[in-house]
Amino acid sequence: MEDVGNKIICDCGQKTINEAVQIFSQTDLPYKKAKKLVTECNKTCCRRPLMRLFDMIKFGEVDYEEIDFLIEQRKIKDMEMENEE
Amino acid sequence: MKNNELIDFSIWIKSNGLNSVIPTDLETLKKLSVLDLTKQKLRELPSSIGSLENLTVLKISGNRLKKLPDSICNLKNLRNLQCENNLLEELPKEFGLLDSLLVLNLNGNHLRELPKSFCKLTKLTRLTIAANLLQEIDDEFKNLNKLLYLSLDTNDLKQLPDVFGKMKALYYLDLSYNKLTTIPDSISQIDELETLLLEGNHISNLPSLESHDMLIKLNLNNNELWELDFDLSKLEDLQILTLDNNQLESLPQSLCKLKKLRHLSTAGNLLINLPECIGELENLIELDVEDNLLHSLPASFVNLTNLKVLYIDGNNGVQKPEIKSLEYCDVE
Repeated sequence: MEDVGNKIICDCGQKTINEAVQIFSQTDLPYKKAKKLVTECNKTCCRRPLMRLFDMIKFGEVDYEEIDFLIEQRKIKDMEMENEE
Repeated sequence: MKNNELIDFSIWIKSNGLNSVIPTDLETLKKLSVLDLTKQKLRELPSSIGSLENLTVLKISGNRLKKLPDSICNLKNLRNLQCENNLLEELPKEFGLLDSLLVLNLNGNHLRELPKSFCKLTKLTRLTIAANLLQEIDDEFKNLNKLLYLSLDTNDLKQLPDVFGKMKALYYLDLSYNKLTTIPDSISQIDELETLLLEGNHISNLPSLESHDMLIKLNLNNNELWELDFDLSKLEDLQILTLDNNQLESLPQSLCKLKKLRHLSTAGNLLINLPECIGELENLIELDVEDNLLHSLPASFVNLTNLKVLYIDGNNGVQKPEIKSLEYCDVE
């Protein structure tokens, strides 16, 4: 899963999945605050992959494949919505 | 005919290397009640799945399915269908034939619309279609009046028809992350509503929510609210209120009457001050007013004797208050 771990999880902040894992693992802040440490912004961007990753770290183990799927799915949806607009 | 289909299904199981998790003998397959195919990297399901007539639970989440076979509509005993995180672009036209369904999870697919027959699923109590591409909901959606839990968040909905009037037992409604500018009046008729999530829309005019005296959680983050112009004190059971990232310049005094309020978040607004009466929120545990325009906290603040977590950073020099119960404050 090393390759997937090196994937950028969100354009905001440009952090990889592995970096996000590290940040979430080292903080006791709730999601909405911890998320800012990863994305370095106040937007609600990349919510599904980030929130899922946060939950995995706090309550279970990281499923890199699922996070990868959620990142890709978001990209596809963003493209589709852009095309419609 | 049914036997041939069962044989086909048995062959499919073996050819996909699933025989370690699913039985293949015909007698067991015929009686099979629960089928779990979660995260098996499947790109399609065989038509023969429709021969599993005793199936009550089908789990196919986390695959790569772009469509479901029409024959899935033959599973007349199916009560629970979990199909989260696939690539579904459409549902079978006769999906509504699955009229025993009580629980349906279609989160994280690519659905742009639901088939007309969908609204025949009148036994549904729990429906989640979050993170799809739905652009509209049919008027007939009102027939799903046994729903207890409904999540339509993260879609592309610009408006909703008045479909909630008969959903009297609905306790959880998530309409977050759509493109709604308003919410239907019929929401006020949902008697049992405990959680209402409207985050991430374009709502500037909120209808009165005064009838929701059972509401426990209300999330209005990331909208375009300039004011809250209804009597908040009517929400007498409210425990969690979040209003982050709006355009609020003040909070109404009626907020202070929410005696059960435990979490209040108004980060990222334009608040110049907090209500003088805020100290009356005797059960408040967490307060987030980060990124506003506050210079100071009201004198009554010291009466918040249960406050444990406080975010005040990003204001105009607000200082950490002396409150014994405080365990965390983002300003030292």
